[in-house]
This record gives sequence, C-alpha cells and structure tokens, in this order.
Amino acid sequence: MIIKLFLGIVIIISSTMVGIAIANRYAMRPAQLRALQSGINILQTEILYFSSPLPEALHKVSKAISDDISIIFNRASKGLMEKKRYTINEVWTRAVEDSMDTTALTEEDKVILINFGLGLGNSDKESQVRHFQLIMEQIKKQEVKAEEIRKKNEKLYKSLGVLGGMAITVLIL
Amino acid sequence: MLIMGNITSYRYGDVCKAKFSQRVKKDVFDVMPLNIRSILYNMDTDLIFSLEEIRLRVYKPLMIVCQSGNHFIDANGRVTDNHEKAYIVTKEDMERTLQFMAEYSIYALEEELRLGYLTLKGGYRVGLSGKVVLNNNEVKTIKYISSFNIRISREVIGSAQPIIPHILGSNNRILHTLIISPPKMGKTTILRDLARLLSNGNKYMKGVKVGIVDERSEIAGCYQGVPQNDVGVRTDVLDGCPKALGMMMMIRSLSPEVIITDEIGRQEDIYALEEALNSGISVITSVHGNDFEDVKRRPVVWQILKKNIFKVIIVLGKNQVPGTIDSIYKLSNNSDTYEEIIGV
Repeated sequence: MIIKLFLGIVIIISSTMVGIAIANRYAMRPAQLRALQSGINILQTEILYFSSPLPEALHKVSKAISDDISIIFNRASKGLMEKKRYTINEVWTRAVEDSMDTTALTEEDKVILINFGLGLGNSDKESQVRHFQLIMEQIKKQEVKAEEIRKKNEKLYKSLGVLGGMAITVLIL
Repeated sequence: MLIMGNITSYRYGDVCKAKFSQRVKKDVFDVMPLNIRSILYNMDTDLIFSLEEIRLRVYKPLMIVCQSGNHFIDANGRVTDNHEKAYIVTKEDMERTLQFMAEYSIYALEEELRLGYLTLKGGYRVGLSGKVVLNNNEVKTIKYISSFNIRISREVIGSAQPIIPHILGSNNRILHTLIISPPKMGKTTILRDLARLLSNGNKYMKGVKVGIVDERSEIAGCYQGVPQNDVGVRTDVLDGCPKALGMMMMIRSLSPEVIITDEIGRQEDIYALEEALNSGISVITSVHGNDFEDVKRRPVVWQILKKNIFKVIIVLGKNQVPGTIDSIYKLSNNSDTYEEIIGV
C-alpha cells in the first residue's frame, strides 16, 4: 500500500513538472521578444544619438540584455569586428540563424529579424529612424501574438500535467 | 634648387618600401571587398610604393594613378593600359567598399557624405561622388556612391628640415610664412613635417606649442579625432574645422605659438590672420598657385600680401617635381618689398 502511494506521488510530481516545462516554453517567447525590443531600443539610441560604430553599438546591446537573446547581438558584433570580409546583412543573417536553436523564437520571428539586417547601419539617420520604427512595430505585434498563445497554453499544460498524472495513477494502480 | 626628400630619392631603401606597402595594404587594401583586395595584393611592391591614387568607379575598370600616370589593373593585379582587359568594378563591390570604409556605420558619416570625402584609419583621404541630394540649395548627402578616389598620402619625415632656418627670425621667433605650390607638389606634406619639426623641436630651436586647423583632415589625417600622421608632441589639432573659425578658437583657448593651416584664400581668413598677428601668434599656411606673381593676381590673397603680413614666402614645385623648393622670398626689415633669397 505504502509503495503504491509512493509510486502515485512520484508519477503525479513528474507529470506536473513536464507540464510546467512545456508551459514555460510558451512563457519564454514573449519574454525573449520583450528583451529583443529593449535590445533594439538600445541599439537605436546608440546609433541615432551617439553615432557609435555599429560593432561597438551591438556589443553594448549584448551586455545590456538577458542572455538568451544577447547571443544574437554578441555574434553579430564579433562577426563585424573580425577582419572586414562580409557585409552587415551577411553577418547579421548568420548571427540570427546560428542563434535560433537556443532561443524560443519561431520561424516567423526569424524572417522579421533577418529583414531588419537588410538596412541596418546602411543609410543616413533619417532612414535609420524609419527602419527602427518598422522593426519595433513588427516585434511588438509578434509579442502580442506570443502573449495570447502563452495565455491559452500555459494554464492548459500546467493543469494537464497535474491532471494527467492523477489519471495515470488512478488507471494503473 | 633645394631638394627636399623627393619620394623617389635614395633615402628610401627596400626596408622602407616594404614597410610602406605593408601600411598601405593594412589601411587601404583591407577596406576593399575580398576580390579587389586579392587583386591589389598581387601588385608589385614597387608599384604599391609609387601609388598616388586608387580609383573605383561603378561598372568601370579598376584604375590606379602612380608617378608614371594612370593605369588599369587586370584581375591578376597586373598593370594594363587596355581597359577591356581590366577588372570591372561591380555595384556590389562599391556597396561593400562603402560599408567597410564606414566601419559598417554609414549613419555616422553624415558630415563626411555632405562634404564629399571621408578619412580612413591611417589618415588616407577618400573622395566620393554619386547622386547628390539637395536641401535648401545645400548638399545634404550623397547617395548611390559611384566613385571612390583613395589618395595614398605619405609622410616624408624631414622634408621641411631645409626650410626651418629660413622661417626663423631674431630670437628664433617663427615668422609668418606662406607656401605657394601647384596641386600635388607636396604642399601638405611640407606643412605636416613643419608641424612635426616645430612641435618636437629641431637643431635650431626648442619645440613650441603648435596648433593645426585641419579643415580637410589632410595635414594630420585624423581618424575619430586622433592624428594618424606624426605631427609632433606639442601639437593640438582641430579636425574638420573651417579655417577662420578654427584659428579664432585656437587663439582663444589653446594658446598656440604657431598656427598651421592649409590653403587660405577666403575673405574671412584675412580677419583671422590679422587676429592671430595681433595676438602674437605666428601663422604658417599655404595657397594654390604656380609662382609668386601668379598668386598676386588673386584678389583675396593679394589683399593679404599687400598688408605685408607674411614675412617669408616659399615657392614649391614650379618644375613639376614634387617636394622641391624653387625660391624663398623674405620681407626685408626696413622696406616693404620682398627679396628673393634663394632662386633657381
């Protein structure tokens, strides 16, 4: 009897944890999109008000925001600081693509980010302002969408974890 | 005729050549796209050493200008005079070059694009042309860059040594000096070396505080405000500042003993010159022209000369040989006329 009770508790706890883990992944994406927005905001300030060179500006951003997202900026900054071989667009695209595995961003987010690299640093300040406005709008939209998905799924997977554990326990014991 | 460090002279051994071409490779070739970089790297060391300009024009052959005139370069880095065999610069090459030269930060070059040139690390000047965007009849920026003219400047250390004794007056005071020279005959090179010699000190005098007003970033070749050429240890540089304005700023706040600036010739320069004169600051400057008589015909310059502000006039490169002094005129102490003390 005691063994059965113990086994039941173990099953419920582990399935709850699985539920929380899945729910967390839905929570991560909006958080990372928010980090991305603050990163791009810092980049905009560096470019428009301080006229810092792009590699330096990207490096500053990578220091200022959370780890998961900063890796994109860090890779781009390192790529540009190396001996001049590739264009901003090439380096940025590579940085985004290489970082996809370790972030919760989706394919849709990736396309938006890569498009951002097309005009980054490549024109006068006036055009850069418009460029930044566009990307901020797009990411904001993605964040709202991601937030909706999170609300829908986070609770679902959490309760599913607990309830599923209970169901399994009842069935097998 | 005094010979002052002509760039072809014996003073440049093989070691110096190798060093120079290393510098050019690092500072100039490495801001080009990879394909053009490898073409230029294939060029002969002697050819690199004689380079004066590298020219990139969109959809046109890659061109260099050296002492023997202008030539095209083919895809293997060899000189050719047949433009059909030359490497043709693509639009992509141009875009990459601009990004590399701008350190990926074209937004930071607004002022440079407005004026039509930028300065590379190492002090090399790059002239630009393309589609000009106007705003209220003033150039706002240049877009779709269609040509780059990269000027390979060189420091000729010691080139101003022979003229030092001529510009020193009693008590080793530096006299107001005007250098007259046709373009590309070493005007700026000499001003740069004068700044270095006066600031570091030389065998005639201790170093003095030197102020350079470098309107076109050619004397000191500043990159992000730091002089890339050796202009001496007691030298302050106002980079990219209009001459008249810069001279006034210098006089007010930096207390130089000598002000060095390039190419005077505008009305407001006269006022600044007089201001410097009244504050007891010596001015060394230059003006475009073939000889003394030629310069006298230019109204603004004549206004200055008439006032006998300049005590020494130095004429360079009359015979189309860069870096040679042709004549030196000195204002005599008791009369108002210039006397030629060294002539051809």
